[in-house]
Amino acid sequence: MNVPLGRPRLLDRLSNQRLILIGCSVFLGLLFLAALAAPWLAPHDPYLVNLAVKLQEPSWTYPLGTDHLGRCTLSRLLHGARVSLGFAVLIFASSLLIGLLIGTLAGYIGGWVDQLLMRFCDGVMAFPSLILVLGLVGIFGPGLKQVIVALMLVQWVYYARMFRGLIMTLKEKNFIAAARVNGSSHWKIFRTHLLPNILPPLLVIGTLEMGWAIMDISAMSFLGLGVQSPGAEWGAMIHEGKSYIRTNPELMIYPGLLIMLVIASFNLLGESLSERFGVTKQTK
Amino acid sequence: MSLLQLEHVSHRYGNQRFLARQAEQTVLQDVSLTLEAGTCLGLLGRSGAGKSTLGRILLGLERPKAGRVLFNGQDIYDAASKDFRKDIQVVFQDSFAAVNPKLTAGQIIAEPLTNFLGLSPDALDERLGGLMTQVGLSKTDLTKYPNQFSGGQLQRICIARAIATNPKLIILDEAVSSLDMVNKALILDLLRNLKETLGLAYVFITHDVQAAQALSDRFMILDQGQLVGDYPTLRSFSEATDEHVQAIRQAVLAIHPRDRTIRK
Repeated sequence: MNVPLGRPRLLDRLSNQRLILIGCSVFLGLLFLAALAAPWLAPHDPYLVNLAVKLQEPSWTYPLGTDHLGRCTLSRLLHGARVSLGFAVLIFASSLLIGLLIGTLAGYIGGWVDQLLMRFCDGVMAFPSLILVLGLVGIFGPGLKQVIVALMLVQWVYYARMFRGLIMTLKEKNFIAAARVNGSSHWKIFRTHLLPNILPPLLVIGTLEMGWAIMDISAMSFLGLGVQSPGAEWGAMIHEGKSYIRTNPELMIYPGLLIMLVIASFNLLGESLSERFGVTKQTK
Repeated sequence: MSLLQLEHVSHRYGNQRFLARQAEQTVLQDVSLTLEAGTCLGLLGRSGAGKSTLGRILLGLERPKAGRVLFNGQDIYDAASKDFRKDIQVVFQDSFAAVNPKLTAGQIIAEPLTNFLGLSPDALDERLGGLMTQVGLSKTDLTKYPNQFSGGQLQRICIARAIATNPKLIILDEAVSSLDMVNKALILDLLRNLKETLGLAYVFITHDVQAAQALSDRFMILDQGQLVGDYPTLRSFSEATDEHVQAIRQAVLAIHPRDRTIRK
């Protein structure tokens, strides 16, 4: 009898991984494209109120039906993707940049600079981030701009911590000492020696954190703190739909499903990237 | 004027933390030495003796807490320009940690060249090719990445990088210690040739007596941060029988098992 060797299983696993990688990338790519092209793709104006057609079943005119004000659900979802994805990217990118800057400074310079910056981070991290964001929004007042600033202010500390650790490990390597001996400026050392070596973990954490950013924005809008009422955004749509949960649950299900799929895709993508690069997972 | 002069160099470690203060530890205490151009100083010591810290201080990477480091009569920590960096280079023990894994051999060796000399692309190419021949590698190796080399080959890349700017002094920080016997002999040969053809001075930091004897003109022993032995010639070192020399000799296993003694 032939004993199956390890080889086919390994191949299976590899192709599975590749499938996840490609599948998630394609899904997210299409979604981003749809978000970009929303004004042309959407069949109706997402803000056009028409009470005559409220709470309709899916039809050829309204592919996913209408909400309680007769607005086209599909159009609102497409326009909502612009807000959810766009601002998630904004929050993610800005907090990543701040975190990279602060973390690199702390890790590279060390000494009291490091101590000072890290104690500040400790202070911020001592609070659950959601509470801190809610507190900040409470101070600034509700609104998309305020939520984004609040999320940014809270998120960067986690990145700073992570980059500090990565930079500190790298800094001890002799090739950094050799670069200094070879007359490279600090900026050149950062560009050619530090950055390329933290890029793989950066990519992995980036994809994992994108999911969180989308979650955060939607959560804030759902609580009525982010995007305000007529605005089309997934979290805000769930918020508006929740009064009709008995009669028209699909008003909540469509945006909820989208949020779930997007976050799951980002997480799966991050996982498979981390396995590909051999980066160990860092949990928040 | 001596090429390199250390005057009463002392160094301590111990981070001053933001709120707490850690106990300080003395690593080097009142170390003074001089080195003439074109000679090799074997700096021996057991692990933890402060050898590598001394190396970092000589390279201008770590300002000592006390004392002066004079290169060509000028204090490298007070110099306005970093010109001395061109003249003092380094070869480390672990060659894989001493090169950026994301760069090719050519990019690694080109780093000091572009920083110090500003050559045209053609001149840079020619210089890189010349350096590779000098260290016994081929020009085609320039496009390879560090993980495509063996430890001995990569150490040659590191040596090429060190000699790229025609320095006057190279710090060899355990440069042959993690190589096998054959590679060790080959690299030592290469270093000896380079010393003669380029007129280089070395500070050869090692715990390996045999390697030190193969290359050095003068020997010093560092123990717990202090210079405890100074032997101006190979002969005086190999014939010395004091406790420090014996302690150093025992720090490395003899090549043949027959000559090994079991230490208590």
